[in-house]
Amino acid sequence: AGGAWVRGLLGWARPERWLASGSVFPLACIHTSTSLQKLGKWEKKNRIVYPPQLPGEPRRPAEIYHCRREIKYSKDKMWYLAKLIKGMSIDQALAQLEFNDKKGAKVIKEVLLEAQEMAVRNHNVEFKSNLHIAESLTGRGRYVKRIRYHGKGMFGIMKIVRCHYFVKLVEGPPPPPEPRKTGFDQAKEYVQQLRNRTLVHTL
Amino acid sequence: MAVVVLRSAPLPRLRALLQRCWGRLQRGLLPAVCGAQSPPWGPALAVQAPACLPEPAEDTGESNEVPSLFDSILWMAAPKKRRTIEVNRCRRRNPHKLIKVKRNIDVCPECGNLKQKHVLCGYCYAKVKAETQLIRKEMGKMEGGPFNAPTIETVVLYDGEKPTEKDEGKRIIERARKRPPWFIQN
Repeated sequence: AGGAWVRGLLGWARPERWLASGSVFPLACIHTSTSLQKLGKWEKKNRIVYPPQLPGEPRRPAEIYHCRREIKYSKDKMWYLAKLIKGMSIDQALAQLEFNDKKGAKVIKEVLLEAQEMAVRNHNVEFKSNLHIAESLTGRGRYVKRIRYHGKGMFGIMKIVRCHYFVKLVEGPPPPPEPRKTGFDQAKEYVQQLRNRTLVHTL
Repeated sequence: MAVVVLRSAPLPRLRALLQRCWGRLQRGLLPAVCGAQSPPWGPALAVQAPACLPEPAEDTGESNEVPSLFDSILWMAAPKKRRTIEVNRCRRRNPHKLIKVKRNIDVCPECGNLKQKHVLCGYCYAKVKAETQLIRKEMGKMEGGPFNAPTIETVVLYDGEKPTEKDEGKRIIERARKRPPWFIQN
């Protein structure tokens, strides 16, 4: 009966709601839990559990989501580092970040090492080098306004800027980079678009 | 009656004012030229006036003067339109602003950490630095104060090493540990 129930599930992933509350029956949930601050969407992505794969299916590569919140750095400056390591293997990314002089490079390196450790420990990844960076994003943190004192009694209002950094590691070698679209390809596409036009509302 | 004598090059504003005054005078004095609109008039009041208008003083001086801040504010550079986010993105994401991938990173043959090709390995440098610090502390203890450096050479000996004939006249620093493999003994 249990097996039939499992097989009866649809192919899509079921988010694991039970673990979060700590009990199966909603009525028994009297929240005395000292849970950490509200979990963000990125942290919850690590909790999805897919149904077991059928024997014929190709192996689904492991995905590890990790992030760090409220980093004291600008999201625009962090974006350049995130763009640098997008699509690289984790070893190459760590090498590039080690010899980069920016402040955010040290932070991102720590995040990547943490994520690698999590992958090996919790997410059943066999080789810690067999990971690549599928997504790396920055987000805006909470800004705080402060007074900046100028001369002659003038003042300005400055923003203390913070950012979040999100990374998704996927098992496997990095995908080959897409070839740049040539002008000839773009021209061909344009001509094809013109040819696909049809007359509407006519005989 | 006042006689207007126009100077050779008065200031443009003054010139415009004078032209307007002269135009008004003309229209007043010769209504027949414009059209018979005003009633026949006679001299209402005669006033003793100077022969010519007081000329604008320091004419040549002012034209040489640099325009004051109030004038220059008018031609200061200022943005005409707000830069759209598309334009801003084109500038910020231009390839020359993106961080370039470094291709000069190698593996240190000694410790296995990463190093840049033209730079010493950071790990190896740090370990040598730490050992040197300890040797210098020992030397400081032996000297006892500043400016007491001896004029003879120094030799560092580790556990179980005896000074050889070559180390006759040299100062000997003892370190209570095994000789590190990278510190070669002569």
